[in-house]
Amino acid sequence: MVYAQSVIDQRCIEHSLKNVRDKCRTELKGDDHREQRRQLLQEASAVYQAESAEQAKERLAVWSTQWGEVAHESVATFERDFDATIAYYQLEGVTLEWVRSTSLLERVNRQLRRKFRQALSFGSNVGAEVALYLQIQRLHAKWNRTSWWQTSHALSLNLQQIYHP
Amino acid sequence: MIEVERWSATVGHSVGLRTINERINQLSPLVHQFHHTPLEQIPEVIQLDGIWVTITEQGEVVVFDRRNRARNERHGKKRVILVALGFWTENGEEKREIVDWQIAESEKHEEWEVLLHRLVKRGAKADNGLKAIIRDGCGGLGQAVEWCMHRV
Repeated sequence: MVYAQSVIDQRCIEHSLKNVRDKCRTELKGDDHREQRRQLLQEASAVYQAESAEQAKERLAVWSTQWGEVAHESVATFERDFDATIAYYQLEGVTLEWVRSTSLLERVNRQLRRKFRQALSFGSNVGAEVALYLQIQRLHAKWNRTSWWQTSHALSLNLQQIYHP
Repeated sequence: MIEVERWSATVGHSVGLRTINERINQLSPLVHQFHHTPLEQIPEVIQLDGIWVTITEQGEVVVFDRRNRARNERHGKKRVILVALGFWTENGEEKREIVDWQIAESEKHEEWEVLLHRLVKRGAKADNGLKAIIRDGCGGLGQAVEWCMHRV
């Protein structure tokens, strides 16, 4: 297989930790294990605070040994694809918030979903596409600190150019 | 109908459903342009994820409403919006934008590939400065990323 210049494929650490949380809820059930669950997750989360990929792997090994007996399925879940969740250590000078998880996108998606709940009915896919497009333009205007008036004015000019080039 | 009333209230007079549809269709070239214009700024990082929504569509069956008007029956369909959020730094300032999206029937790799191929075509590739793709563990997405971003 021939590979192009490399784009790092990073798996979201929040999803990984959520999977561990879900698994340990079934393994360490009930109020009696609440403190144990909390500790397991706190320590799992601390693995990603390592300063390098090697250190993260060492922390994982320690964590796995510690929890292997009482929560072996949670350990297996965390170990699965672990390397894909620490790919971001290869990146230098990139904001950590962008590369460790998809949390920022999930926040955006919640805003888009809210819009779809408001405008439930679309006569066709075109209607849904246009509604989505306008909502995205609104978000971009907000992020770029541009007023909606300026944005909609620019869109209108753009549209005129499309229809009357 | 609530939406029609809201539009009417916004513009200050009654707006018909047909007018709204005409306006929407007039805007659709902007959507096409958005999906196909080369990216002005290539993001360093792109986050990918899908959101499931219900889109109400018009069916074939004709029913009569309270005022006895013939209307096509409507039914909700689950659709997933595949979203790509890009991040980059410009003049020392962190920027983000939704660089593309795709309304799809599922999160299978074929659907993700449509979005990713388009992004690559618009310039989002390693040669131009794309450094990383961030995603969840959805199997289809992983396969699509490998196909579109790694193979030559």
